[in-house]
Amino acid sequence: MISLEGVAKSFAAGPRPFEAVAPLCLRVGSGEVFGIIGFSGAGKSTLLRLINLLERPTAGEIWVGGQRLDLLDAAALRQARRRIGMIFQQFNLLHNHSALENVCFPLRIAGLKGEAVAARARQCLELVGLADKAAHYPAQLSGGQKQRVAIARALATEPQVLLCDEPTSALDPHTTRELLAVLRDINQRLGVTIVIVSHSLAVVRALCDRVAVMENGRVVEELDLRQAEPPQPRSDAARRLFEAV
Amino acid sequence: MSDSLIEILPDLWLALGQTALMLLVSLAASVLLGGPLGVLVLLTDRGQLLQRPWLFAVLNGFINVVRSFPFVILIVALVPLTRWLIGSSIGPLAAAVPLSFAAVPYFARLVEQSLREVPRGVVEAAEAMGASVPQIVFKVLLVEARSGLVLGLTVMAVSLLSYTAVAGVVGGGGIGDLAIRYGYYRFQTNVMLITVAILVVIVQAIQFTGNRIAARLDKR
Repeated sequence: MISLEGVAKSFAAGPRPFEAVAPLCLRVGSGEVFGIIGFSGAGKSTLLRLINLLERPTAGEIWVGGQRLDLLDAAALRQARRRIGMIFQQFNLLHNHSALENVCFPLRIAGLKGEAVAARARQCLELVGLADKAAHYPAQLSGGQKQRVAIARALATEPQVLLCDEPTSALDPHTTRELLAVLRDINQRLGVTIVIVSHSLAVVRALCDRVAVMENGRVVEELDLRQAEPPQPRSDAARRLFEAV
Repeated sequence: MSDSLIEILPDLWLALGQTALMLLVSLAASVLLGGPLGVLVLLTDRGQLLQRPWLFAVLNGFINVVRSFPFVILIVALVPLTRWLIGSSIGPLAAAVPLSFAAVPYFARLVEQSLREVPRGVVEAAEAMGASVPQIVFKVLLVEARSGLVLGLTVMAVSLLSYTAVAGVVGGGGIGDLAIRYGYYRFQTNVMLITVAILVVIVQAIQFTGNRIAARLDKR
């Protein structure tokens, strides 16, 4: 579903460019839940943002759903992005829009009109268990509820992929568990491929099929979490992450 | 007191009409020209959606230069432009030209500041959903910043009201001019007090209305 081939990203910073993501290859299968874990500054958010081209790669190819994204022009990229949902640590809802209007937003910008828009938005709010909060504004919702509205919004255009950038880092442990249940439910019921960035091993363990461990812009290890026996990390970074629990 | 008040009543109505005319024309100009200018100067800044450093430098410089002029000097300097546009450099409509000229970059700056308050992440989320730049401007930036924009317009209206008094210098008329002519030049203190009191009431009304609308629009 997702395939990054030799993708790298560096930022101009002083005389030598800063390499946020070193050349790497990554493949995520259809319907898989893939985690990217690492300490702060490891480059995991940058890697995630490369997938929908919020960051332009300085090298490599980005393939999502059989389409190479990094060669598309602006209009084609906008079309492609409608098939890739994204949620954020800070939710990034429109504060002057109600929950329902927030979920309508991606449908409206995709050119849909009329009754169908609100109907589809209601359906998505139901999916995340917030049908009764449709008329509430974000300021009237809790953190967990805001993130669920954000998930409903990301799913409105029926994307094949959901990118999650530290989705639980602003939430308490209880709300985190609830949210992870919502994400798992979406993955199983809709078959949406999920890529989730987190610094929390607990989050990754609870949700992911496979996880890439990042350090200094490199994927130092990929672990399969579907095995019965606990994973045996070989890299230092992975060992430190796994031992910290 | 009442005699002099009755005496200036016709003048007062005329002056109120002139002030309203100057205010409406310059407010319309600031929204129609200053609004787009403010959006454009934001979008062309570094790290923004339409990043164009040279265009940003030109627009930003223009706003700063016009805003540097003391208003009286702007009035005099723009006399040829006013004559060309209106056919005369005297009267409230003529005074509306330099008023508008000062109002446009002023409002542009206020718009730019309000739009900058919209969190970067919200814009990014819209980008990730496949929104185009016009969609981001009209459906994200202007919607999220709307209460700040209304407050900006309120500040503008109050500033322009005091500018209209200065515009009286070129025969623009208006309520501030009335205060200067009767109260200041003719030593009719009571007339001056009345006109100032009227100005106070107008300013209070503008600010009250602006605050109310902004609060209604703000769901944050």
